[in-house]
Amino acid sequence: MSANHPDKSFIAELHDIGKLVDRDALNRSGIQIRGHTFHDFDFSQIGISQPSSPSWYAQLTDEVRSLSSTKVPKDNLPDVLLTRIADELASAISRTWGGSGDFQNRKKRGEFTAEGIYVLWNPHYYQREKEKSKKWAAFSTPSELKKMFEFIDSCENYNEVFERFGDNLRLTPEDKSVPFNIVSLYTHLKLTGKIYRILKRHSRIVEKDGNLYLEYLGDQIQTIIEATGGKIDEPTQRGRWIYRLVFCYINFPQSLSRLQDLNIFRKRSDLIKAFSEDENTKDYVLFFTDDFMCLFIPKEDEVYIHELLEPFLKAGFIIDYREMEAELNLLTSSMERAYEKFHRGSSNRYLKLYEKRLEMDLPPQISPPLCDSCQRRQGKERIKDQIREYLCDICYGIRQMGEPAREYAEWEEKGLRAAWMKITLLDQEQLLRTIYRLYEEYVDTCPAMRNVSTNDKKALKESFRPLAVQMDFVNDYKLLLKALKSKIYEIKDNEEKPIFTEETFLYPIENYNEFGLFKVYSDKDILSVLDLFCNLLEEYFPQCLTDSPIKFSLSIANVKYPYQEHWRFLAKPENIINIQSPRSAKISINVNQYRLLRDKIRREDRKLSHFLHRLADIEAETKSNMTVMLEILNNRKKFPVLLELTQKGLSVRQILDFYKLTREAETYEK
Amino acid sequence: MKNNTFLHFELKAQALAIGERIKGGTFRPCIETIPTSTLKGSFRDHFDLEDVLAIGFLREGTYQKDIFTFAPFDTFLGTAKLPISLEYLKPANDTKAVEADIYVVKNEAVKLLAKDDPTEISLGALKSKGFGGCELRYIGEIKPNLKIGYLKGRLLEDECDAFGISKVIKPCYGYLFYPTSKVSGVYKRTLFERSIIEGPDILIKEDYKYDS
Repeated sequence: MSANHPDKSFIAELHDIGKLVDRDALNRSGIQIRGHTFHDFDFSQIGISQPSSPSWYAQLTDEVRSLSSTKVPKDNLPDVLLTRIADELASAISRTWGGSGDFQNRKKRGEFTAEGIYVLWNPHYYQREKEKSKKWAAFSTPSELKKMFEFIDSCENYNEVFERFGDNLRLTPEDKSVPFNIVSLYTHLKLTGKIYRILKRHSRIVEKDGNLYLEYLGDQIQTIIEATGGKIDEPTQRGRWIYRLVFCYINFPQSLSRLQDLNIFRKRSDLIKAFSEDENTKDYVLFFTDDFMCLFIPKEDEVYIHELLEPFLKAGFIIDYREMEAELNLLTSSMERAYEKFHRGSSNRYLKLYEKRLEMDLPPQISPPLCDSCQRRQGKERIKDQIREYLCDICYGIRQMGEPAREYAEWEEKGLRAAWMKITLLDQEQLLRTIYRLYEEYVDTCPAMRNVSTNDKKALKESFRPLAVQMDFVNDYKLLLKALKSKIYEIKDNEEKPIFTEETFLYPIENYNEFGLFKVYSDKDILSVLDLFCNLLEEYFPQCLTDSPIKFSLSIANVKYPYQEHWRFLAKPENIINIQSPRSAKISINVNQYRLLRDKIRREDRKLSHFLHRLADIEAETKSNMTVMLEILNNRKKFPVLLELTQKGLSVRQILDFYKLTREAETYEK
Repeated sequence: MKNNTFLHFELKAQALAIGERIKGGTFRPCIETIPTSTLKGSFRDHFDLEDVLAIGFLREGTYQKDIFTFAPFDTFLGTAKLPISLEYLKPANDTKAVEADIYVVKNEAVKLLAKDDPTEISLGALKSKGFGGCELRYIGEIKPNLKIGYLKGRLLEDECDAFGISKVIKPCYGYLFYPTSKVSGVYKRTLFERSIIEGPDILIKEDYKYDS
């Protein structure tokens, strides 16, 4: 291997590169390997010498617990220790969880080892990828193993790790044992790398009397436990480094009364993208969506949050955020759970949870006129097309960003209806509830866990840290949005012609895939979009068909219907599928209910419509489900499908509204 | 706290349109709470009382939203303007009236309101079209407990003290119009719903459980 590389940077992501090594295959080739790190590997087996770049010492991450360690050269010790701290924070199950000795021994013996990643919401993901000839291992032969060591020596930038091994990293779990195998190595390394760089940026190396220390906000530590603290149920094991995990919801006060107001979505996406790509801020962003960012930042004394997020505030956005400020080992994205657990016992440790808001300074009073759009600043008169409005500079600036959905304004065919479509990843709390549900089901029902004690299962559930899993979920959500956008134009009618073109199905905001507008010529248009969404949800999130944080909403009305009203419905989805035709029908159902209705109701004739209306009248007059059920039973031979649907939990109102929404979309000549 | 005694009233209406300000369109959404500014105007008009501090909260389940469309008439030009759709509240399907609780900060001036007979007042927009007619009935005096939680109404920031709000933990600001004379006024900074406060429990929708 090459000589020393003192000028090379330390790449924390390389600490787990050994997890891409297929040890069994190499053992069969006569190469002896123990574990996934290579600090005690016999390099003579492959005829090379040990790498010597700083990143090589990341292989000793598991061996270092203190800056007094002699296993790593002094120059590299702080990096290795910080990697170790970041690695622990990024793991899905708290490494300090303990568990019984029996469980630990069985885990060490490989009793729970599985091959690939287990995606909680998509359990067959790994199998399907494998069938496409994709593989988790990047290093299966002696020559590939040599290349791994060459890579450790030559790698200049952490991005190279993801560019070169991204596919393998996505299929490899960070920990191969059930139920730890739920986070991809890709996400684990992304998270570890970011946390490592933030810890490094905000600490400094201090040498006193020949001993090394790391100092953050005046607090010097030598060991991991001094920095991070102990488990949540260790009341005296206080950690000295306090950091913040912040969930930022980026909202806007503007009302959507003109199509140009849609530019606000582009503005927000652009700002989030810029913030998460900027060299100075990108590592603070652990993950983001189009209206949300999860940040890992130091205490306020070190980084002022209002300064950090100033670009958003200057642009008029309101940031509602939930901030957990705690010792490193207590930080978790399931903030409320941790807070409640922490306060159940007495402890002298540090964990705070706040709900706060950031926005541009607002004056105590404003002389009229107030801005018509945001209503937070003084408006100035603006006249366009003989319409006078009062807008502040910020809202006017948003209007001036361009004319999104210009085509929509020109949809003037008489009687034409249009659908406003919005897909939403509802707030992170609902996402966390879903992730917890899926994880607990996995622990309880996975065959490999059959002989694990109830106490160990309980400890595994309590030690779960969902942050990395959340990141994986958000990534899959983004893939679903992309897939929907590309497949919408592939839907064909009976004559094999595309139902939608880029003129009839608009994605009006650049790079914003959650929102679309389309012409509704017939009920088939609505159903084909709904079918596509359901199919994609089943492909990417098959475990979320009845309970999902991902919501799909359609508001169908005349083209001139007030945009605010569409938006008000789209912004508050109640179930997975939500459809309204204002003043006519409104329905909120899950995917299974949709499929049932789709399958059963569509085959029925007009007589069913009359009967459904009659039932709805009876329901409104009597307010009695019993009377309605009696009527359905009396007519069960004529309409057997209704009995079946009501027995599966659908109300008469839901059945009628579905019928109206999908049948009453007038067929319109294109 | 300056004053923590309130006069509690029940309000019933058949059609109530307390609108958000016009937001540049032909649609006026309706809010689901009764801000202090709305009640201040109403009490002034009906009881000749200046500067009454009162706030109202609609009772859940007693109302639903509907839309009323009308074309305002431009008296100067003698023509109809573009039609406006106005959102309003009407009784829910199985109720007889939209119901609300009104709390008036007790002081010498408002004592006369504490009488047994119900009073007719009007609130909100489009009174000429039959909206806003309400029956106000006195229930009694209450002394609420102090609590930390999410505000469920809208009140001017400089009214916090008089309402007994001892701390604003997270302000969610908006603006309400405040008349300074019969023909002019200013917009004053106001605490909107979801602000986190420490104050009388009658103002709180839901507890806030975390640090402040």
